Parts: sequence; C-alpha cells; structure tokens
Amino acid sequence: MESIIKKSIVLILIISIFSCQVDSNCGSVNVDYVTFSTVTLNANLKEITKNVRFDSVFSPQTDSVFAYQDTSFISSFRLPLSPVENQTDFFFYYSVDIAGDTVSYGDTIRFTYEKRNRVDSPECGIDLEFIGMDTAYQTFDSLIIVNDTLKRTINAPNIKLFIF
Amino acid sequence: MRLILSCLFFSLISFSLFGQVPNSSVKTDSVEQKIVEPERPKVPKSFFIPTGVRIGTDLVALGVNTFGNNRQRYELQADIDFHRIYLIGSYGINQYQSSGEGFEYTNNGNYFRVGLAADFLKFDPDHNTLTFGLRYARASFSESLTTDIVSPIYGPYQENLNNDAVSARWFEMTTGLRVMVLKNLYMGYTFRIQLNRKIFNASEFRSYDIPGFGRAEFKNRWTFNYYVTYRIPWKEKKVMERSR
Repeated sequence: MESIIKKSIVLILIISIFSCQVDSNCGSVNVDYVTFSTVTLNANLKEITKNVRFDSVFSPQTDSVFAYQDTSFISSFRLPLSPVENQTDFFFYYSVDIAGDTVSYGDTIRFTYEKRNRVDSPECGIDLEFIGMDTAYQTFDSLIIVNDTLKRTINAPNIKLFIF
Repeated sequence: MRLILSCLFFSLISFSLFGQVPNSSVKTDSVEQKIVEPERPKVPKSFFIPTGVRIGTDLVALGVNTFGNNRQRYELQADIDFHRIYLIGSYGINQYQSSGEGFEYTNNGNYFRVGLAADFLKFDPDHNTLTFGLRYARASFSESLTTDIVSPIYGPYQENLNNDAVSARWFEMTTGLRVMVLKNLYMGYTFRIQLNRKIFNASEFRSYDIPGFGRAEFKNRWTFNYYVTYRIPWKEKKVMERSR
C-alpha cells in the first residue's frame, strides 16, 4: 500500500514538471513584416544574388514611403504588412546593373493574408499573427514564396524575387 | 534554468521517496525462506453500495471572487463512494474579463469534470480520504475581444471579434485529501495536473481563457482547489478490519 502511494506521488511530481510551462514575457515570435531576397539565374541556371537599388517603394495603404532614392544596392530587405486590412500592395521602382548598364524597373505585389489576434497579457497587449500569406497579384519576372509564416525564428526569406 | 531547477528538485524528492521503499531484493539469509502470504480477506459486495454523497464548493474560487477584480467563478463538487472508489463530478460557472493596452476581453462559460478516484485510507470509517484519481473535463464558453490599436505605419484600427460556442477539453490527474472537521463536514485540497488541452471552434481569434482551466496558451498546467464539503449519509460505512 505504502509503495503504491509513493509511486503515485512520484508519478504526479514527474508529470507536474511537464505541466509547468514558462509564462510569456512579451517576447512574441510573430512579426508583421515580409522578408525578401532578390536573385537571378546565371548561365548554369544556378541561383545567384542580384543587387538592386530602390528609387522608391511605397504602398497605397499608407502615406509612409519605405524607400526613396536609395544610393546603395541591396539584395535583401523587409516590408511591413498592414494590420488594418487583409491585403497590402507594394509598388517597387528600382534599378539593376546589367552588363554595366543601369536598367530601371517598376513592379507591383499584392499580398493577401489572414490575421489572427491573440491576447498575450494585460501588460503585453495584443499579439497579431499573419497566417496564410499569398500573392494575389504580382508583376515580377518570377517570384517564389519560400515560406508563408511570418515568424522571428525563421531565417530564410519569405519571398524570393527573380530579376532577369 | 527554471525547468532545470524544477527537474533537480523533483528528482531529489523522487529519489528520497524511493529510498523509503523497502528493498525486497536484499538477501538477509542464506537459508531460503518460503513466505506464505496470508490470504487477503475478500471485500463483501455490500461494501460497494454507496453510503452517502458529499457536496461542496471550491473556497479558492470564492476567495478569488472576493479579493480579485477580474474573475467570478463558482464551483460545486459532489462525490459518491463505492467502497474505496469515488465517483466524482464537478460543475462550475465562470466569468472573466481583462483589459490592457489597446484591448478588452470578456469570457463567459461553464465547465464540468467527471472521473474516478481511489481512496488509500483503507480503514477509516469517517470517510476521511486520501485519493488519487483521473478526470475528464470539458468547458463551453463564448468570448469577445475588442481591439483599438494604432499601427505606426498604417494608422489606427479597431476590431470587434467574437468566438461564440467555443469548447475545450482536457484530462486531469488529481490527488486530494478530505478531513472531517465537524460531523459530516469535510475540508481538504485537490491538486490537479491538467493535461492535453484542446480547443474547438475558436474561429475569430485565439482563445485566451478557458473556464475551469485558465490561460489557454498552455496545453498542460497544474492548479489547486480547496473544498469545503458536506456529506449526506444514508447508510453507515463499513470498513475492513485491520489485519494484525
């Protein structure tokens, strides 16, 4: 009898360890931005980085301008999605070097997604999660959604933009 | 770090408890002794006829209602004895509200738990109990969330979100003690390990609070209740005589 009680207590204690989970501390893993990388294909059809210089990047959903007359060339960047609607449009005006010449482009992407609210805590407020991100419309040469999950813990870009 | 410390702490307790268990494998004598266990007396079938019902309420809930601002919870619990097995059920209603920067949340619902518990106080005629048990629990609730947030880039936005007819279920491992403090009046605790929580039909936003369970972000957690119960007897309890 005693041993049954002792074993039951030990079992409950062990399981209680797994029942303990760390309280949240306002450190949400969800992010509100999409990460991009710009790539092209070389002669062997291998993916290589393609640097672009943004003349301007903006969205009709906001007065904010995300890039304006940048001077540096970049191959990765991120843009915030609108929490107000279930879609965000971005207009890109950019330049690339092709065989020593600077060529300018203008392209558009419309992202669609669903929003999922979660109360984190009275102190931390609302945590907004963007799920099921997709493109409803886009004019780039090619585009791949590498992952549609907007989380801080994922290192890979969400979107690969192919520029030829 | 907290988890590591918890593991060490519980490991120490576990080892010390195992240390108390007599080691039956120790050889005490080279001469082989044949131990004949005395035949255990059979429990008469009449012992399994219920002798009364205990009905009570959770004092922790009443304390939270009195001293807290956010939650109103009331719980009734009843158990009925079948010799050393108790059929236990509880039903509760719960209202919860919370607000913070940019949101207001309300939750309204009820829950029940049902299960069995085994009593390890074999020879106690007063129905004092030390039990270990299992429960199945289910909650039904509706919740609403109103947000009023300003995005630094896209401006202000408000949302009114409702999760109607949400349900949740989980399992519990429990241990509890009830001690008679006055004739037929019992007090005691129940420690619950709540496991494998699942939520259904939370369509508009992620559930925040579950009646009878607590914070919905946890799949497993533990909780504690302190009950005062009154026993309505209809039959005298018979117990086995302690063997010498």
